[in-house]
Amino acid sequence: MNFSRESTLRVSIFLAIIIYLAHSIGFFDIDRLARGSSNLIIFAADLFPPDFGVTGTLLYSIFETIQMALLGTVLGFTAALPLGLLGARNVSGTGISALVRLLLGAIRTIPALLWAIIFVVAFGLGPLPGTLGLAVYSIGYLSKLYYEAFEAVDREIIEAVRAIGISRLKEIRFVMLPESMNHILSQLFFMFEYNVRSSAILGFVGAGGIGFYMISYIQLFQYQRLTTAILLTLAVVLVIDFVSSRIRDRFLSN
Amino acid sequence: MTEYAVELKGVWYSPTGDNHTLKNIDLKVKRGASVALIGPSGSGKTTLFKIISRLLSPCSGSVSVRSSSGELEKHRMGYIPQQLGLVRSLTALENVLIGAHSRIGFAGTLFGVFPKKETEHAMKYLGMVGIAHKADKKVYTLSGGERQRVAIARALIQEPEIILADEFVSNLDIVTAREIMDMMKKAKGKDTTLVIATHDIELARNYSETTVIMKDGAKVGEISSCELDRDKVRDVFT
Repeated sequence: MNFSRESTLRVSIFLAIIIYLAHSIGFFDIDRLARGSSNLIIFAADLFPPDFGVTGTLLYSIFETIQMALLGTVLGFTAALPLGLLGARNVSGTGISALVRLLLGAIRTIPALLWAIIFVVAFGLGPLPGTLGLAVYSIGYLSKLYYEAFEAVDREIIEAVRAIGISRLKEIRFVMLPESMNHILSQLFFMFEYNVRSSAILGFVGAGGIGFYMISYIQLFQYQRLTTAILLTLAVVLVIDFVSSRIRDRFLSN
Repeated sequence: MTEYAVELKGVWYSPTGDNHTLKNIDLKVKRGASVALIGPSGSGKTTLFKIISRLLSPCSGSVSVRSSSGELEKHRMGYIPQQLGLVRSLTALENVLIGAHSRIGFAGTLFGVFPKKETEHAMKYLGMVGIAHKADKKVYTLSGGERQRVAIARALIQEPEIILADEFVSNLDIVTAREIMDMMKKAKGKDTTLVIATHDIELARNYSETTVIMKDGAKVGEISSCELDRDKVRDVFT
């Protein structure tokens, strides 16, 4: 393989930048890395054996986590579908789509965790602000994926129905939605999986679910209970991943 | 009652304002006639179809598309694009019913519940093109020839006064292409005007009365299709 002098120079500059960035963050501070590694080993040892005595309490909170994820996804999807249509240039035109995209971009700028904090401030502690946080985040994320899917619909199919004078509502119903349905469902299931993981973290800021217990166990140095919470979350996430991928495959194969 | 179903006078079109893809097109198509547009790829056939179907507006010139009683409503114009424009994830029957959209109400649109009469109507046309047994199959599971038949049935259920067919059999083998064209000729009403775009001389000669020859966005000739031979269009395709 031949590398030109110019490309060698470019790669060298790129590597130099990466090394500088790593250095400025502390990746070459050997003392600190050694100290941290030994702390990690002590922390890992403290995690075992898991304390399964808290399973009953955690099962209720994990149910709450799933409840938040499901409701947040459904609420987000309900708003994302029409917003996705409005954001698609081939459905609503350039002007409206630009406005909707601006709004959705603003929503996406704020992560789910920050949305949850905002809603905790507004509505107080518990699963309600967490669910609202997930719903708003889902709107921003799903709408973007949906308007991209609508814009990818074959232009010739759209022209074929517009040429015969079909109304915009019928065009959406008989062309845009069926042609994008695989994407719509696939992204919806992905969003649900994502929200289950996210909702576990939202408890850290008091927005309900198993995360509330996780942060409490960390603050109280009850690491063996934390292990039980992590294992339960892992088990639930794996089951949901499996079930949703089976459902998704079934839809996609159709 | 006007004699011409389609009448274009001095039509120019450009998507960007320069580099015209249609240049000063004059075209008259008599009601009930079969006309072929022939020319190589990029000669402007598809753009001309989009002008006639009112998907595009000309930069200058006039376009008149008329029914026997006035301006032709869009739902009475069958349009079959090159790739057919079928909704792949819907069934053959649902695709045909899209052609009957002007007779389907709000509830039917929202819930996909079609009036029984229209469903029977659609089945009749699917039967006419020999594909009624695949009515409930999704379009993406059908072969190329079967999709062509669905596209014809969708055009026919519109009870069209004009059918525009844009190279829609060009991807088929010659035997199937002829079979489909025979079916189209047979199924269209005698007052239905048929305009086909093709680069196949045989197809133009066998399935049209008049052939309009196009090159580089301009109309370079109009002859009786029975006079069409390779010598007459050699310059156009080189």
